[in-house]
Amino acid sequence: MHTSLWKKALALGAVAPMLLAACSSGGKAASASNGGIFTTVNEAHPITAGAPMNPFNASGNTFDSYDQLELGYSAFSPTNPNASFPALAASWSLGANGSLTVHLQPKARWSNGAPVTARDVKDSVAIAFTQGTQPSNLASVTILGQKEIRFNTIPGTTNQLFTAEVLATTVVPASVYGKELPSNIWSTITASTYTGSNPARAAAARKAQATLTALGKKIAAFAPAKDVSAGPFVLVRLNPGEALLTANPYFWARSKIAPKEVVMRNYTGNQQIWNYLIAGQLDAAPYTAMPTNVLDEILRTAGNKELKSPAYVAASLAFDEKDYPYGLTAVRQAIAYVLNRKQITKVGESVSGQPVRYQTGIIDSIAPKWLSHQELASLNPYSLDPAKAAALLKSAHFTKRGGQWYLPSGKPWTMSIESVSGFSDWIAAGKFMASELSSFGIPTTESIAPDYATYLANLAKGDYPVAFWLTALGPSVADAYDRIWGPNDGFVAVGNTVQHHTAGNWMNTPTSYDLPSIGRVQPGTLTGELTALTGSAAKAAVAKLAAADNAELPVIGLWDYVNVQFVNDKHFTDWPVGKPGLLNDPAGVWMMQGYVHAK
Amino acid sequence: MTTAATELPAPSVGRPPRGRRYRGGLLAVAGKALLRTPGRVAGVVIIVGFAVMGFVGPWLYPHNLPVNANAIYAGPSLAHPLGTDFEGTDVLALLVTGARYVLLSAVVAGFVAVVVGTTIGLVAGYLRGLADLGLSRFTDFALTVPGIPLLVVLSTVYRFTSPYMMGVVLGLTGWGGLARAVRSQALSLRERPFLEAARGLGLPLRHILWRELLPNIAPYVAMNLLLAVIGSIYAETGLFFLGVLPAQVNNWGVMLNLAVFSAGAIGSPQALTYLLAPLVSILLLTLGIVLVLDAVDEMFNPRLRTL
Repeated sequence: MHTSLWKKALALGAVAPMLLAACSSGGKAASASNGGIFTTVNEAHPITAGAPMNPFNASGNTFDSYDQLELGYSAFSPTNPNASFPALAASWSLGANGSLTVHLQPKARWSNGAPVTARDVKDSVAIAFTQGTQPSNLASVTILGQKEIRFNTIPGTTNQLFTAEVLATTVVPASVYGKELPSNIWSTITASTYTGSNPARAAAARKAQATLTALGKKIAAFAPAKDVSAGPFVLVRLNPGEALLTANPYFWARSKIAPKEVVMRNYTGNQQIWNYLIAGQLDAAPYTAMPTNVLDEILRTAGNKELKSPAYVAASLAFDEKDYPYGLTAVRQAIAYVLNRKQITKVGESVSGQPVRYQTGIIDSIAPKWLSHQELASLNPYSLDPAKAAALLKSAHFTKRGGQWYLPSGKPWTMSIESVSGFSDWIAAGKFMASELSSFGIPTTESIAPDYATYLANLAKGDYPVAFWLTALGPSVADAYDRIWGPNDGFVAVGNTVQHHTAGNWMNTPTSYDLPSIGRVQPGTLTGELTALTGSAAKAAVAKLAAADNAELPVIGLWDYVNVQFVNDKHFTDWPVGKPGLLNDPAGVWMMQGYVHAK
Repeated sequence: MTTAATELPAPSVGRPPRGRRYRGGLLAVAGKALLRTPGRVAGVVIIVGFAVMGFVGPWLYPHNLPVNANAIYAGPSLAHPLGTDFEGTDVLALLVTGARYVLLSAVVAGFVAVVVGTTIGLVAGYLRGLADLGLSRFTDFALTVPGIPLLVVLSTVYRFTSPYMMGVVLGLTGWGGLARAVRSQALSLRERPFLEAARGLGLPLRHILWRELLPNIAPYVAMNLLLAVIGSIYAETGLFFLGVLPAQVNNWGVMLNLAVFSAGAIGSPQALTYLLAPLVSILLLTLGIVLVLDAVDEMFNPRLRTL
């Protein structure tokens, strides 16, 4: 699987790299000798020729931190999830009432020369509401000046991640996107945020939410005529092989940006990025899953260097619990006992994976920060133990005949593990798990979806009983548990209220568990509340969620990722070595922070 | 999959007397034809070898091939003559157990394409008139259906874990070219004296089509059967290689896909045998079929036999 958003890939023939090399902009060898062209790949998704230059489009041809900017970028601090690097926001401050005031870069201008203003930010936040990506308890924004704007929270709500969520807002020019917004957009937004019990207002809220959803689709499909960027670069040309961006002459910190041009190579799977790296064609590449033999080849290439930093994401096996027998806790536990996570990681993610030690829903490296030694010791490690697995299945009235397990109904039990074409680590690990489960007596095959978008769509439809799923997305533990007991499990937080819906719910876990050790737990509600908790209250909530995850196994954690990425110092130098937070951001952020200089 | 069209043999002037077409019997003629040159013998050996591999191979290995994460990409050795793959499974075992799916679906595809194409071509060419019009338009329609995109669409609702179903679909999308060629041949042959005589004798249509007309185009049909098998092997392994069909089964196309897209075999010598094993097998099998092709022509064409 690929990229720091750890997404996307498609299938393709092996000739693609040669074709792409042939249709590149050319002149790299000559021009790049002065460090002029920075060649990389887009970490969010591949290039889709014909897709609009619109960051709200799922395949949009804008490139985060290059020609698409947020107010700030996460510093990926394990202790302070709000820590961020400034981008369009030069500074920010929290008010006593929980509001956040943001001061924009005084010299920030769009690539057409117009200044970046608070109006741009306000329209961008309105668009975020249509996409469902707004800060969870944001009520409104107030323009305080041309370069100053305040974000107001819903009264009575608390969100410990408010700063990070606000700063993650993608800012687009009001001159381009403003006309897509109706004049009453903010009254619609205000109506949509109502969570009280007044039936008339609740009905109005549902109507407003439907209006915003419809508007969101329209905005996602909007195709601007040309790229108007506030970032260090602006898109000038794009073909199916690559995108070419040139320096934005109006960028406020132009002196920090070494490359004159950026070439974004297209890719259709990890294998293509491996080929670029082996050929020494990329100055920087985001996280890309690979086997050890490929890593060895990449490191043999002159100039290639490996940079490692912690990653706050894990690969897991998720279940749709509405599909029998995966709603049975004993079945999920039995599967966990059959899977040898150490060997699975060795096969699937030997270069950048650490087998999951604790099944807690958060990555192992931060688990000791949230859970006491005693709490960690009480967790079930689910070490390889086929005998225990057999005992669990027998206790659930499964039977084994002729080396195969049968359901209590007498039907043979077969399994399919869903994976995605191009996600080399998932595919290899999935095949290995299928072998392990088949040998245990559950005939298992791996099925590979043609692309990530199809995979997610099929997951949402409930087509996959057992599938790979990224969990523990952090560094915030609230975000990590949101991957399990969040929207994919039907739990949606509005302000500090958590609602349970059937729409979008493909995990279908119970809304509560009765655990012998801690009593009744409502994990969806607790996850929603986690954003409002601090200190010991947050730790207590995490302890309950970790215990629930460990006992009930809504997902089986397989490996924690390590962010392994590559740079090549033939043309550029001064990489953010030893800056683990910054390394988790795309290379455009490195440049804005003063790193990456021409050799 | 499209059945490759071969050059049509010259139609016989008349029907050879039945019973004396294969002096010594068809098997003897086939044996002579197949063993006449070293190349043909090599072709027979290759095809028989792969057929045995596909038939017996899966019984030689456990249903669930062993995996070993401590022997990933192990080099060739006595234990693993072709090395191991990304999960430490023996590549030779994968090759042997994967042969059955490839061969079975290719044979089924070739058989379906030949049966459907020959039947429709014969009926259309011999009957002419409305039947010809209808069947020819149907053939035109079949020729316009793109086989591989159709398979991609079908794969969204069906997973092609059965080689028979894969073969049927490939065959049903690949008979159009053969039907066209057989129709042309039938149009030419229907005016020959032996068929006029058959009609004059009031022989039933079924007899005329299958006992009088078909034997005269048998060489062409037989060669197309073999070519259709080759085409089907390329089509199915190509589809699995590209990843457009779900890799739920072990076959050579899946091996190629995993070798290139998951194991990095293109850029890494460690995984080379994993990549080359299915590739060389496909090439060898194609070579075997090509070497046998002219023997088939000779078997059915008496004039070639006398040369």
